[in-house]
Amino acid sequence: MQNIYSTISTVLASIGLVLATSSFISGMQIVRGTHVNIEGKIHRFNGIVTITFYTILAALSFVNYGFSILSAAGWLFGFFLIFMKLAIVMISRKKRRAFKYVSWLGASLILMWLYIIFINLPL
Amino acid sequence: MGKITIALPLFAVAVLAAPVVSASVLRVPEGYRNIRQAVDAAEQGDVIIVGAGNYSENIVIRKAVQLRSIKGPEATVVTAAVKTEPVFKIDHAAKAVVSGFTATGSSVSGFSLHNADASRILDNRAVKNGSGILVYSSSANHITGNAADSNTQYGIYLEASTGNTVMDNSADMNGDTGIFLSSSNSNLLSGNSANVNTWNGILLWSSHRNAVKGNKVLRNAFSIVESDSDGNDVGGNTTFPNFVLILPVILIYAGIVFYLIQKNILRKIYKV
Repeated sequence: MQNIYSTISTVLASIGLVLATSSFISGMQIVRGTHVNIEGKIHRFNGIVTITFYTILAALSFVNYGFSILSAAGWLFGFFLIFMKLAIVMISRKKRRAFKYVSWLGASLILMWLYIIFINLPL
Repeated sequence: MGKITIALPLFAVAVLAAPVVSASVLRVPEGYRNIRQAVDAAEQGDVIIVGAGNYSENIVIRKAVQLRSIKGPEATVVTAAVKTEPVFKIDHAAKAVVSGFTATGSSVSGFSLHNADASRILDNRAVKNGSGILVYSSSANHITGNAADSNTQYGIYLEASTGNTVMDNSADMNGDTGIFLSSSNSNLLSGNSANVNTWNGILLWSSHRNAVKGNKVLRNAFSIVESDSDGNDVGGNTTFPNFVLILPVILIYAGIVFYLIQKNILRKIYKV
């Protein structure tokens, strides 16, 4: 009997969105400058696990549905968002103004995870 | 009385002497080397039973024969020998049956019905063809329980066809449209899935008085499209399940709760 969590992709995507949300909130707290040490740990841990899940989901997508240029372009765009965000974090350590762009990219990552949930919902 | 005594024995002789028509069973590969030979040799009403295996053929059926596989579509795969022809074609025939095959490798279609009536395409797989199942100028056919998936163009395509039943099929992941009715009237589309097609799930083009009910049409560019079509009964189809909305809300809420839990645990650990 198939249910909504019968496939590993749906489970990973769901955990990914939960962690991305948690990571986004902690990131916002860092921008505000409250409890930077603890928030930083939460943000980093959730972020690393989320990127790992994203990579596994991309690999599963190619294993299950084969390679297509459209699909590869979609996953690469996601990686581009992730690494752009990481790059701005590096820059913003020196220039604090860059933080505002991180918030926008963080929100984009949440939207990205919502889309990943949508494409992984069982039919 | 005399007439009756003469007529009764004559009637009995006539009945007994009448030719008895019974269906023969032809077997592939035991009796015939390939399916095409068996179809050519079969008479009206014969049953052709096909054993498991891979066959490279294009089969044209022009009479009322039943073509059935023993082990089902997973084990009985027919690949188009001539790629520009359909794998199975029912041509100007009535009451033909094709059941339990995988048809693949044709740039035209896995199964084609041309001027076919009251025929049945049952429990087959039509994958990786130009289109899965094509129906032209045909009526009162049953297309049931087939998987017409991953084709370059259409999953199931009906043109100038009336009164056909398309039920419980899947037409998923096709390059254009899942189920396409073109100038086809009074057909029944029920219980099908037409998901993850590049453009339309179900497209009615200049088609009237069709019933499109209880189909699942998800994650296509457009779900059910009617163009220049009137009097169609489109109802009870699933195009957007509720959990698509509910699940993300629940997960984001879970994310907020998870953040608070993580924060409190770390605060206790680091005594902040």
